[in-house]
Amino acid sequence: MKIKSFEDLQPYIGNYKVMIFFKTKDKQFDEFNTFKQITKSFLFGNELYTDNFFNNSLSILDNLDFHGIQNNFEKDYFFDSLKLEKSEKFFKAKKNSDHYLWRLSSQTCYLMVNRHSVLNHTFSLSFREKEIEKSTESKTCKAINEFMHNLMRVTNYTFITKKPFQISEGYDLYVLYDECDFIECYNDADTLTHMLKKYD
Amino acid sequence: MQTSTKFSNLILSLIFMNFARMSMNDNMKIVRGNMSFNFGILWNTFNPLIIVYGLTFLFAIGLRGSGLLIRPEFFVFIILSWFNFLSIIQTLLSEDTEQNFYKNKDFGNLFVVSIASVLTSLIQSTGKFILTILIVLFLGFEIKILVILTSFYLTCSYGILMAILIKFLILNNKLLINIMNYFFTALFFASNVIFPISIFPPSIQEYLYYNPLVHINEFIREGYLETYGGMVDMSYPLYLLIPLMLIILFVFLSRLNLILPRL
Repeated sequence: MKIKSFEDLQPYIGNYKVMIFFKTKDKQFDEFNTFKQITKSFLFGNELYTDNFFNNSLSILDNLDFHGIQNNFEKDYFFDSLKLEKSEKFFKAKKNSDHYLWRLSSQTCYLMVNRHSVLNHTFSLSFREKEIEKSTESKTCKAINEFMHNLMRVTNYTFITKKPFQISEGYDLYVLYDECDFIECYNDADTLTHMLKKYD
Repeated sequence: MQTSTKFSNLILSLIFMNFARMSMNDNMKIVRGNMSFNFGILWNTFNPLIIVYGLTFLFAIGLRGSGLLIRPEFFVFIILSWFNFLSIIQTLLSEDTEQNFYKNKDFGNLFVVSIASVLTSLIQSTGKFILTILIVLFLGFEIKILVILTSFYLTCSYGILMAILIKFLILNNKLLINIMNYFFTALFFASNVIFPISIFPPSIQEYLYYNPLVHINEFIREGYLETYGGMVDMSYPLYLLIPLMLIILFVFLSRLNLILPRL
Protein backbone atom coordinates (compact mmCIF):
# COMPACT_ATOMS: atom_id res chain seq x y z
CA MET A 1 0.00 0.00 0.00
CA LYS A 2 1.49 3.31 -1.01
CA ILE A 3 -0.13 6.11 0.87
CA LYS A 4 1.56 9.41 0.44
CA SER A 5 -1.16 11.79 1.49
CA PHE A 6 -4.36 11.82 3.46
CA GLU A 7 -6.33 11.79 0.20
CA ASP A 8 -4.77 8.39 -0.60
CA LEU A 9 -5.85 7.17 2.80
CA GLN A 10 -9.56 7.97 2.40
CA PRO A 11 -10.56 4.67 0.72
CA TYR A 12 -8.92 2.73 3.54
CA ILE A 13 -10.94 4.33 6.32
CA GLY A 14 -13.86 2.05 7.00
CA ASN A 15 -12.33 -0.81 5.01
CA TYR A 16 -9.36 -1.52 7.28
CA LYS A 17 -8.53 -1.32 10.95
CA VAL A 18 -6.70 1.99 11.13
CA MET A 19 -4.91 3.71 14.00
CA ILE A 20 -4.33 7.43 13.63
CA PHE A 21 -1.73 8.88 15.94
CA PHE A 22 -1.63 12.63 16.45
CA LYS A 23 1.86 13.67 17.53
CA THR A 24 1.66 16.78 19.69
CA LYS A 25 3.33 18.45 22.63
CA ASP A 26 0.28 20.52 23.37
CA LYS A 27 -1.65 18.89 26.22
CA GLN A 28 -4.80 20.76 25.21
CA PHE A 29 -4.66 19.47 21.64
CA ASP A 30 -8.07 18.10 20.68
CA GLU A 31 -7.50 15.06 18.47
CA PHE A 32 -11.23 14.41 18.34
CA ASN A 33 -12.15 17.69 16.65
CA THR A 34 -8.99 17.65 14.53
CA PHE A 35 -10.02 14.28 13.11
CA LYS A 36 -13.52 15.61 12.50
CA GLN A 37 -12.11 18.57 10.62
CA ILE A 38 -9.76 16.58 8.40
CA THR A 39 -12.38 13.97 7.52
CA LYS A 40 -15.22 16.47 7.13
CA SER A 41 -15.39 16.03 3.36
CA PHE A 42 -16.12 12.30 3.42
CA LEU A 43 -17.16 11.38 6.96
CA PHE A 44 -19.68 14.14 7.65
CA GLY A 45 -22.64 12.83 9.62
CA ASN A 46 -20.69 9.79 10.78
CA GLU A 47 -20.64 9.92 14.53
CA LEU A 48 -17.46 9.48 16.56
CA TYR A 49 -17.78 7.50 19.75
CA THR A 50 -17.81 9.55 22.97
CA ASP A 51 -19.13 9.08 26.50
CA ASN A 52 -22.19 10.97 25.34
CA PHE A 53 -23.14 8.61 22.55
CA PHE A 54 -26.04 7.66 24.81
CA ASN A 55 -28.18 10.40 26.32
CA ASN A 56 -27.77 10.10 30.09
CA SER A 57 -31.32 11.22 30.85
CA LEU A 58 -32.84 8.39 28.80
CA SER A 59 -32.87 4.67 29.54
CA ILE A 60 -30.67 2.20 27.66
CA LEU A 61 -33.74 0.98 25.81
CA ASP A 62 -34.76 4.49 24.76
CA ASN A 63 -31.22 5.19 23.59
CA LEU A 64 -31.17 1.97 21.58
CA ASP A 65 -34.51 2.90 20.02
CA PHE A 66 -33.29 6.43 19.33
CA HIS A 67 -30.25 5.17 17.40
CA GLY A 68 -32.38 2.47 15.78
CA ILE A 69 -34.84 5.02 14.38
CA GLN A 70 -32.02 7.31 13.31
CA ASN A 71 -30.27 4.56 11.38
CA ASN A 72 -33.32 2.74 10.05
CA PHE A 73 -32.97 -0.38 12.18
CA GLU A 74 -35.90 -2.56 13.13
CA LYS A 75 -37.31 -2.29 16.64
CA ASP A 76 -35.50 -4.53 19.13
CA TYR A 77 -32.57 -4.97 16.71
CA PHE A 78 -30.21 -5.02 19.67
CA PHE A 79 -32.06 -7.70 21.64
CA ASP A 80 -32.74 -9.81 18.55
CA SER A 81 -29.09 -9.74 17.45
CA LEU A 82 -27.80 -10.57 20.92
CA LYS A 83 -30.67 -12.96 21.73
CA LEU A 84 -31.18 -11.16 25.01
CA GLU A 85 -34.17 -10.65 27.26
CA LYS A 86 -35.00 -7.12 28.41
CA SER A 87 -34.35 -6.75 32.11
CA GLU A 88 -35.44 -3.91 34.37
CA LYS A 89 -32.04 -2.16 34.22
CA PHE A 90 -32.53 -1.54 30.49
CA PHE A 91 -35.47 0.71 31.34
CA LYS A 92 -33.51 2.96 33.71
CA ALA A 93 -31.65 6.20 33.05
CA LYS A 94 -27.89 6.20 33.58
CA LYS A 95 -27.94 7.09 37.28
CA ASN A 96 -30.29 4.20 38.07
CA SER A 97 -28.86 1.69 35.64
CA ASP A 98 -25.89 -0.63 35.94
CA HIS A 99 -22.63 1.08 34.97
CA TYR A 100 -21.20 -1.86 33.02
CA LEU A 101 -24.49 -2.61 31.31
CA TRP A 102 -24.70 1.03 30.25
CA ARG A 103 -21.14 1.16 28.88
CA LEU A 104 -21.34 -2.17 27.09
CA SER A 105 -24.74 -1.41 25.57
CA SER A 106 -23.58 2.01 24.43
CA GLN A 107 -20.37 0.69 22.83
CA THR A 108 -22.07 -2.29 21.19
CA CYS A 109 -24.89 -0.11 19.87
CA TYR A 110 -22.31 2.26 18.40
CA LEU A 111 -20.54 -0.55 16.56
CA MET A 112 -23.86 -1.89 15.29
CA VAL A 113 -25.37 1.31 13.93
CA ASN A 114 -22.41 3.24 12.54
CA ARG A 115 -21.08 2.62 9.07
CA HIS A 116 -17.58 3.83 9.93
CA SER A 117 -16.70 3.31 13.56
CA VAL A 118 -14.31 5.94 14.88
CA LEU A 119 -13.12 5.31 18.41
CA ASN A 120 -10.91 7.06 20.92
CA HIS A 121 -9.83 6.53 24.53
CA THR A 122 -13.44 6.81 25.77
CA PHE A 123 -14.16 3.46 24.11
CA SER A 124 -12.97 0.52 26.26
CA LEU A 125 -11.58 -2.00 23.83
CA SER A 126 -11.70 -4.68 26.50
CA PHE A 127 -13.53 -5.23 29.77
CA ARG A 128 -12.01 -7.64 32.26
CA GLU A 129 -14.13 -10.62 33.30
CA LYS A 130 -13.57 -9.74 36.97
CA GLU A 131 -14.79 -6.21 36.36
CA ILE A 132 -17.97 -7.42 34.72
CA GLU A 133 -18.66 -9.82 37.59
CA LYS A 134 -19.09 -6.76 39.84
CA SER A 135 -22.10 -5.83 37.78
CA THR A 136 -25.58 -6.56 39.05
CA GLU A 137 -26.36 -7.83 35.56
CA SER A 138 -23.20 -9.85 35.10
CA LYS A 139 -24.77 -12.58 32.96
CA THR A 140 -26.23 -10.05 30.51
CA CYS A 141 -23.02 -8.00 30.56
CA LYS A 142 -20.93 -11.07 29.71
CA ALA A 143 -23.19 -11.84 26.76
CA ILE A 144 -22.94 -8.26 25.47
CA ASN A 145 -19.18 -8.22 26.05
CA GLU A 146 -18.73 -11.39 24.03
CA PHE A 147 -20.91 -10.06 21.24
CA MET A 148 -18.98 -6.77 21.22
CA HIS A 149 -15.65 -8.60 20.97
CA ASN A 150 -16.85 -10.66 18.04
CA LEU A 151 -18.21 -7.54 16.42
CA MET A 152 -14.91 -5.72 16.87
CA ARG A 153 -13.08 -8.59 15.25
CA VAL A 154 -15.15 -8.32 12.08
CA THR A 155 -15.70 -4.55 12.10
CA ASN A 156 -13.18 -2.23 10.51
CA TYR A 157 -12.77 0.73 12.78
CA THR A 158 -10.50 3.74 13.13
CA PHE A 159 -8.87 4.44 16.46
CA ILE A 160 -7.60 7.95 17.11
CA THR A 161 -5.12 8.78 19.84
CA LYS A 162 -2.40 11.19 20.88
CA LYS A 163 -0.98 9.04 23.68
CA PRO A 164 1.95 6.73 22.76
CA PHE A 165 0.97 4.08 25.36
CA GLN A 166 -2.24 3.47 23.40
CA ILE A 167 -0.33 2.28 20.34
CA SER A 168 -0.94 -1.44 20.04
CA GLU A 169 -0.78 -4.32 17.58
CA GLY A 170 -3.78 -5.48 15.62
CA TYR A 171 -4.29 -2.67 13.11
CA ASP A 172 -3.81 -2.87 9.36
CA LEU A 173 -2.59 0.69 9.04
CA TYR A 174 -0.89 3.18 11.34
CA VAL A 175 -1.10 6.81 10.35
CA LEU A 176 1.09 9.47 11.86
CA TYR A 177 0.01 13.07 12.05
CA ASP A 178 1.91 16.09 13.29
CA GLU A 179 -1.11 17.79 14.84
CA CYS A 180 -3.12 18.65 11.70
CA ASP A 181 -0.45 17.66 9.16
CA PHE A 182 -0.24 14.22 7.62
CA ILE A 183 3.26 12.73 7.94
CA GLU A 184 3.31 9.08 6.96
CA CYS A 185 1.57 5.76 7.03
CA TYR A 186 2.99 2.48 8.39
CA ASN A 187 2.04 -1.17 8.40
CA ASP A 188 2.92 -2.04 11.98
CA ALA A 189 2.98 -0.63 15.48
CA ASP A 190 6.73 -1.04 15.91
CA THR A 191 7.53 1.17 12.93
CA LEU A 192 5.18 3.84 14.21
CA THR A 193 6.80 3.74 17.67
CA HIS A 194 10.25 3.83 16.07
CA MET A 195 9.33 6.77 13.83
CA LEU A 196 7.84 8.61 16.77
CA LYS A 197 11.17 8.39 18.61
CA LYS A 198 12.91 9.63 15.47
CA TYR A 199 10.65 12.66 15.19
CA ASP A 200 11.14 13.46 18.88
CA MET B 1 -29.55 5.73 2.90
CA GLN B 2 -30.71 8.74 0.90
CA THR B 3 -30.16 12.17 2.42
CA SER B 4 -33.91 12.84 2.65
CA THR B 5 -34.52 9.49 4.42
CA LYS B 6 -31.59 10.18 6.71
CA PHE B 7 -32.97 13.61 7.54
CA SER B 8 -36.51 12.37 8.22
CA ASN B 9 -35.16 9.49 10.35
CA LEU B 10 -33.11 11.96 12.30
CA ILE B 11 -36.09 14.22 12.96
CA LEU B 12 -38.20 11.20 13.94
CA SER B 13 -35.55 9.94 16.34
CA LEU B 14 -35.24 13.38 17.93
CA ILE B 15 -39.01 13.59 18.36
CA PHE B 16 -38.89 10.14 19.96
CA MET B 17 -36.12 11.37 22.24
CA ASN B 18 -38.10 14.47 23.22
CA PHE B 19 -40.99 12.27 24.32
CA ALA B 20 -38.71 9.77 26.07
CA ARG B 21 -37.10 12.64 28.01
CA MET B 22 -40.47 13.48 29.50
CA SER B 23 -39.93 10.63 31.97
CA MET B 24 -37.75 13.20 33.79
CA ASN B 25 -34.83 10.89 34.56
CA ASP B 26 -37.14 7.97 35.39
CA ASN B 27 -39.08 9.99 37.98
CA MET B 28 -42.22 9.78 35.87
CA LYS B 29 -41.97 6.22 34.70
CA ILE B 30 -43.30 2.92 35.98
CA VAL B 31 -41.21 -0.16 35.20
CA ARG B 32 -42.60 -3.64 35.78
CA GLY B 33 -40.63 -6.60 34.44
CA ASN B 34 -39.97 -6.01 30.77
CA MET B 35 -42.66 -3.35 30.40
CA SER B 36 -42.49 0.34 31.13
CA PHE B 37 -45.03 3.13 31.18
CA ASN B 38 -43.80 6.67 30.72
CA PHE B 39 -46.62 8.66 32.28
CA GLY B 40 -44.43 11.76 32.03
CA ILE B 41 -45.57 12.01 28.39
CA LEU B 42 -49.21 12.25 29.47
CA TRP B 43 -48.40 14.63 32.30
CA ASN B 44 -46.20 16.88 30.18
CA THR B 45 -48.77 16.96 27.37
CA PHE B 46 -51.96 17.43 29.32
CA ASN B 47 -50.98 19.28 32.52
CA PRO B 48 -51.52 22.76 30.96
CA LEU B 49 -55.16 21.74 30.53
CA ILE B 50 -55.62 22.01 34.32
CA ILE B 51 -55.02 25.77 34.05
CA VAL B 52 -57.00 26.03 30.80
CA TYR B 53 -60.06 24.28 32.23
CA GLY B 54 -59.68 26.01 35.61
CA LEU B 55 -59.61 29.47 34.04
CA THR B 56 -62.53 28.58 31.77
CA PHE B 57 -64.58 27.40 34.71
CA LEU B 58 -63.73 30.44 36.83
CA PHE B 59 -64.47 32.99 34.13
CA ALA B 60 -67.56 31.19 32.92
CA ILE B 61 -69.18 31.18 36.34
CA GLY B 62 -67.60 34.36 37.70
CA LEU B 63 -68.25 36.81 34.88
CA ARG B 64 -71.71 35.79 33.84
CA GLY B 65 -74.06 38.68 34.24
CA SER B 66 -71.16 41.17 34.23
CA GLY B 67 -71.96 42.21 30.69
CA LEU B 68 -68.93 40.41 29.22
CA LEU B 69 -69.84 37.55 26.96
CA ILE B 70 -67.67 34.70 28.18
CA ARG B 71 -69.06 31.39 27.13
CA PRO B 72 -67.06 28.29 28.09
CA GLU B 73 -67.41 26.63 24.67
CA PHE B 74 -65.30 29.27 22.92
CA PHE B 75 -63.39 30.68 25.88
CA VAL B 76 -61.71 27.29 26.43
CA PHE B 77 -60.36 27.30 22.86
CA ILE B 78 -59.04 30.85 23.14
CA ILE B 79 -57.14 29.97 26.32
CA LEU B 80 -55.97 26.67 24.82
CA SER B 81 -54.68 28.42 21.69
CA TRP B 82 -52.65 30.76 23.87
CA PHE B 83 -51.13 27.91 25.87
CA ASN B 84 -50.30 26.01 22.68
CA PHE B 85 -48.64 29.12 21.25
CA LEU B 86 -46.67 29.67 24.44
CA SER B 87 -45.59 26.05 24.93
CA ILE B 88 -44.26 25.76 21.36
CA ILE B 89 -42.11 28.85 21.93
CA GLN B 90 -40.96 28.07 25.47
CA THR B 91 -40.08 24.45 24.66
CA LEU B 92 -37.81 25.47 21.82
CA LEU B 93 -36.25 28.35 23.74
CA SER B 94 -35.35 25.99 26.59
CA GLU B 95 -33.70 23.51 24.20
CA ASP B 96 -29.98 23.62 24.93
CA THR B 97 -27.88 22.56 21.96
CA GLU B 98 -24.75 23.06 24.04
CA GLN B 99 -25.55 20.05 26.21
CA ASN B 100 -23.02 17.21 26.07
CA PHE B 101 -25.30 14.86 24.17
CA TYR B 102 -25.52 17.23 21.19
CA LYS B 103 -22.08 18.76 21.40
CA ASN B 104 -20.02 16.22 19.47
CA LYS B 105 -22.73 15.11 17.11
CA ASP B 106 -22.88 16.35 13.53
CA PHE B 107 -26.66 16.44 13.73
CA GLY B 108 -26.64 18.40 17.00
CA ASN B 109 -27.20 21.65 15.18
CA LEU B 110 -29.85 24.18 15.96
CA PHE B 111 -31.74 23.66 12.74
CA VAL B 112 -32.50 19.95 13.20
CA VAL B 113 -33.10 20.29 16.95
CA SER B 114 -35.51 23.19 16.35
CA ILE B 115 -37.55 21.29 13.77
CA ALA B 116 -37.83 18.29 16.09
CA SER B 117 -38.75 20.48 19.06
CA VAL B 118 -41.57 22.36 17.30
CA LEU B 119 -42.94 19.14 15.82
CA THR B 120 -42.98 17.54 19.28
CA SER B 121 -44.86 20.53 20.67
CA LEU B 122 -47.23 20.45 17.71
CA ILE B 123 -48.07 16.78 18.38
CA GLN B 124 -48.74 17.64 22.02
CA SER B 125 -50.85 20.66 21.05
CA THR B 126 -52.92 18.51 18.71
CA GLY B 127 -53.47 16.02 21.54
CA LYS B 128 -54.68 18.77 23.87
CA PHE B 129 -56.88 20.21 21.14
CA ILE B 130 -58.57 16.89 20.31
CA LEU B 131 -59.13 16.07 23.98
CA THR B 132 -60.72 19.48 24.55
CA ILE B 133 -63.04 19.04 21.55
CA LEU B 134 -64.13 15.66 22.93
CA ILE B 135 -64.76 17.10 26.38
CA VAL B 136 -66.73 20.06 24.98
CA LEU B 137 -68.80 17.66 22.85
CA PHE B 138 -69.31 15.36 25.83
CA LEU B 139 -70.61 18.27 27.90
CA GLY B 140 -73.09 19.06 25.15
CA PHE B 141 -71.75 22.47 24.11
CA GLU B 142 -71.74 23.76 20.56
CA ILE B 143 -68.59 23.21 18.45
CA LYS B 144 -67.86 25.44 15.46
CA ILE B 145 -65.21 23.22 13.98
CA LEU B 146 -64.12 25.51 11.14
CA VAL B 147 -63.64 28.44 13.50
CA ILE B 148 -61.61 26.54 16.07
CA LEU B 149 -59.57 24.63 13.48
CA THR B 150 -58.63 27.89 11.73
CA SER B 151 -57.56 29.47 14.99
CA PHE B 152 -55.70 26.32 16.09
CA TYR B 153 -53.63 26.10 12.92
CA LEU B 154 -52.96 29.83 12.74
CA THR B 155 -51.91 30.06 16.40
CA CYS B 156 -49.67 27.00 16.07
CA SER B 157 -48.16 28.43 12.88
CA TYR B 158 -47.35 31.65 14.72
CA GLY B 159 -45.95 29.65 17.64
CA ILE B 160 -43.69 27.63 15.33
CA LEU B 161 -42.47 30.58 13.28
CA MET B 162 -41.92 32.87 16.28
CA ALA B 163 -40.13 30.10 18.18
CA ILE B 164 -37.79 29.38 15.27
CA LEU B 165 -37.15 33.05 14.59
CA ILE B 166 -36.34 33.88 18.21
CA LYS B 167 -34.21 30.75 18.69
CA PHE B 168 -32.21 31.49 15.54
CA LEU B 169 -31.67 35.04 16.74
CA ILE B 170 -30.81 34.51 20.39
CA LEU B 171 -29.41 30.94 20.18
CA ASN B 172 -28.57 29.66 23.69
CA ASN B 173 -28.22 33.04 25.40
CA LYS B 174 -29.79 32.40 28.82
CA LEU B 175 -30.43 36.08 29.62
CA LEU B 176 -32.24 36.72 26.34
CA ILE B 177 -34.22 33.50 26.75
CA ASN B 178 -35.47 34.75 30.13
CA ILE B 179 -36.29 38.17 28.71
CA MET B 180 -38.24 36.56 25.88
CA ASN B 181 -40.15 34.41 28.36
CA TYR B 182 -41.16 37.54 30.29
CA PHE B 183 -42.11 39.23 27.04
CA PHE B 184 -44.44 36.39 26.06
CA THR B 185 -46.01 36.34 29.52
CA ALA B 186 -46.75 40.04 29.09
CA LEU B 187 -48.08 39.43 25.58
CA PHE B 188 -50.87 37.41 27.18
CA PHE B 189 -52.48 40.67 28.28
CA ALA B 190 -52.03 42.26 24.86
CA SER B 191 -53.62 39.37 22.98
CA ASN B 192 -57.13 39.79 24.39
CA VAL B 193 -57.21 36.20 25.54
CA ILE B 194 -59.56 36.89 28.44
CA PHE B 195 -61.32 40.11 27.56
CA PRO B 196 -62.75 41.11 24.18
CA ILE B 197 -61.03 43.96 22.43
CA SER B 198 -64.17 46.10 22.69
CA ILE B 199 -63.57 46.80 26.39
CA PHE B 200 -60.27 48.60 25.66
CA PRO B 201 -60.27 52.35 24.89
CA PRO B 202 -60.08 53.09 21.13
CA SER B 203 -56.58 54.57 21.44
CA ILE B 204 -55.25 51.26 22.79
CA GLN B 205 -57.37 49.15 20.44
CA GLU B 206 -55.62 50.78 17.50
CA TYR B 207 -52.26 49.32 18.62
CA LEU B 208 -53.67 45.97 19.71
CA TYR B 209 -54.88 45.32 16.19
CA TYR B 210 -51.24 45.08 15.05
CA ASN B 211 -51.01 41.87 17.07
CA PRO B 212 -52.16 38.99 14.81
CA LEU B 213 -53.19 36.94 17.86
CA VAL B 214 -55.83 39.59 18.65
CA HIS B 215 -57.46 38.94 15.29
CA ILE B 216 -57.33 35.16 15.79
CA ASN B 217 -58.80 35.31 19.30
CA GLU B 218 -61.47 37.79 18.27
CA PHE B 219 -62.28 35.56 15.31
CA ILE B 220 -63.16 32.71 17.69
CA ARG B 221 -65.15 35.03 19.93
CA GLU B 222 -66.99 36.75 17.12
CA GLY B 223 -67.37 33.51 15.16
CA TYR B 224 -69.28 32.00 18.05
CA LEU B 225 -71.26 35.16 18.77
CA GLU B 226 -71.82 35.63 15.03
CA THR B 227 -70.68 39.24 15.13
CA TYR B 228 -67.60 38.81 12.91
CA GLY B 229 -66.60 41.94 11.06
CA GLY B 230 -65.35 45.46 11.78
CA MET B 231 -61.65 45.75 12.52
CA VAL B 232 -61.15 42.02 12.99
CA ASP B 233 -59.73 40.69 9.76
CA MET B 234 -58.45 37.15 9.39
CA SER B 235 -56.57 37.95 6.21
CA TYR B 236 -54.16 40.03 8.33
CA PRO B 237 -52.77 37.14 10.46
CA LEU B 238 -52.80 34.91 7.38
CA TYR B 239 -50.80 37.26 5.16
CA LEU B 240 -48.46 38.23 7.99
CA LEU B 241 -47.12 34.68 7.96
CA ILE B 242 -45.45 35.35 4.60
CA PRO B 243 -43.13 38.20 5.73
CA LEU B 244 -42.47 36.24 8.92
CA MET B 245 -41.28 33.27 6.87
CA LEU B 246 -39.12 35.54 4.72
CA ILE B 247 -37.53 37.05 7.83
CA ILE B 248 -36.76 33.55 9.14
CA LEU B 249 -35.19 32.65 5.80
CA PHE B 250 -33.09 35.81 5.92
CA VAL B 251 -31.98 35.15 9.52
CA PHE B 252 -31.28 31.51 8.64
CA LEU B 253 -29.07 32.45 5.71
CA SER B 254 -27.28 35.24 7.52
CA ARG B 255 -26.53 33.08 10.58
CA LEU B 256 -25.91 29.82 8.75
CA ASN B 257 -22.57 29.21 10.44
CA LEU B 258 -24.23 29.42 13.88
CA ILE B 259 -27.38 27.50 13.00
CA LEU B 260 -25.62 24.77 11.06
CA PRO B 261 -22.10 25.01 12.54
CA ARG B 262 -20.92 21.60 11.40
CA LEU B 263 -21.68 21.98 7.73
